[in-house]
Amino acid sequence: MMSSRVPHLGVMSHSFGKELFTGQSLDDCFRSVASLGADQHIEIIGGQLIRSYPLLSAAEEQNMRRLIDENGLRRSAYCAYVERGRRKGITASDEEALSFIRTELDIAHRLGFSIIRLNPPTPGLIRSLLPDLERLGITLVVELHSERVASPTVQALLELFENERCELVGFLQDMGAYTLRVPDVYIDYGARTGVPQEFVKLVVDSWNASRPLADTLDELAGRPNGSQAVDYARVCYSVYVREPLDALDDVLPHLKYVHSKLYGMNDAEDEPAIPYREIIGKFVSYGYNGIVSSEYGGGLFSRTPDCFAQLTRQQAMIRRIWGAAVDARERGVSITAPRHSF
Amino acid sequence: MFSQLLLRDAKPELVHTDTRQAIKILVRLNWYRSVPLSCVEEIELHVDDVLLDSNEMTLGVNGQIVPVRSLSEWQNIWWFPLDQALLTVPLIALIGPSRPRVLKYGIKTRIPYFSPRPNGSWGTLNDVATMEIKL
Repeated sequence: MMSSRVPHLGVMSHSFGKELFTGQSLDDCFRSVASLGADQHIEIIGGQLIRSYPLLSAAEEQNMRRLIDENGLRRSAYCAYVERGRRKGITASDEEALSFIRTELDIAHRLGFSIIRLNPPTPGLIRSLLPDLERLGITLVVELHSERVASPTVQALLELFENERCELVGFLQDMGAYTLRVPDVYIDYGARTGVPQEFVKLVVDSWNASRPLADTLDELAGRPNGSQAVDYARVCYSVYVREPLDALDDVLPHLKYVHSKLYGMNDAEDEPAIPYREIIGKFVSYGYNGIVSSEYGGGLFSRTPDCFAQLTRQQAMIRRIWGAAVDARERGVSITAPRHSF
Repeated sequence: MFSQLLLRDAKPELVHTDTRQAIKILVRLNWYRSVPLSCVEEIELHVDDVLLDSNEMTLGVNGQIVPVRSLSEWQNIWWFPLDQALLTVPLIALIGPSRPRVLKYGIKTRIPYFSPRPNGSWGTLNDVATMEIKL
């Protein structure tokens, strides 16, 4: 298997959440995705974009198909969630979860998507869904982001994928799992929303040094007014995740989809918080040839909606790095030697 | 999430009946995906730091009007994140002469795909938005 010279790029709809919240139409957003370059793919979250969710009305089915097709977009993946907590005080059983996952599969199929991203499924749920996936011709991918590859959860999925050897299931690797440092957009957000500078620095330095959240919270509790930064610390540790890059080696044999996470491009046209060169080097060395779907996470904390300006720059960076990785592979040279220490 | 946008285009107004006054205001969900109303654990409205009584507070969403105190029962009514909902709060005491006031909207939403904590509780997202109004 060989990676193509040009990556297959696209955008996940979570990226333009703030744009939608501030009144841009879905048509405008899809048009902006298409303007990023030829053969753009669109990945949608049903609960974000479909008003009749958790169902799909005939009118909305027709409208969504029209928006995708008229803007010349290709379908990449439909995003669904195992929402066991919909009822207060009750955790949905596997049987109940299967019922609403099958509703999501129906939506994905009706809209023409051949990949469903499902977060977070158990191996048992996946096994139960295999006949549905085969019947509908849909591949199920499980996102790797906040759970470490060495965790029991991911190890159980690895065992399932090894045992089943089914082409219809695999992993989605979110590149944000390899975040190097707290992004500038989150540092600015702390300052802008009134978190005292000394506590922004404490939280950021603690995360960057891989200090456990509990220790960071203990130190905040011991400082006058430290409670002002508790939520800031909790969000930081839940949103930003760092794995050793060699964890990717276990994932690659089952990799079927990629989220290219973006927090914010810098003046050097680089994403300084994520080691793109090293990660793409591994993808290309392995021969990954699937979708690379941009997920802009900076919008949650940025001052103004700026998704498409950021994605234009990010996709240019990905094309540049990908091309260099393919060239290196063809010359028999590795570009995976890390420039960053983990 | 997006707390600074939760009261965008809120159009607050004070309405009068023969015997009561009520505040009506358009509010947003603090999550980027639809949730059933059973996931909205708390809605609060303060005027000038005074918490308004929520016993008769209602939320109009998706063509339905639901008492806020019973939101947890409504798992079949969903709130689409791009839709505003009409929050209506009948007032116990008459509000004074019209003057500038600070209105604070708070919403706590249970995120249904987070796993429950070891103690059985679920993660929630709490957001607060304020606006200056004249009532």
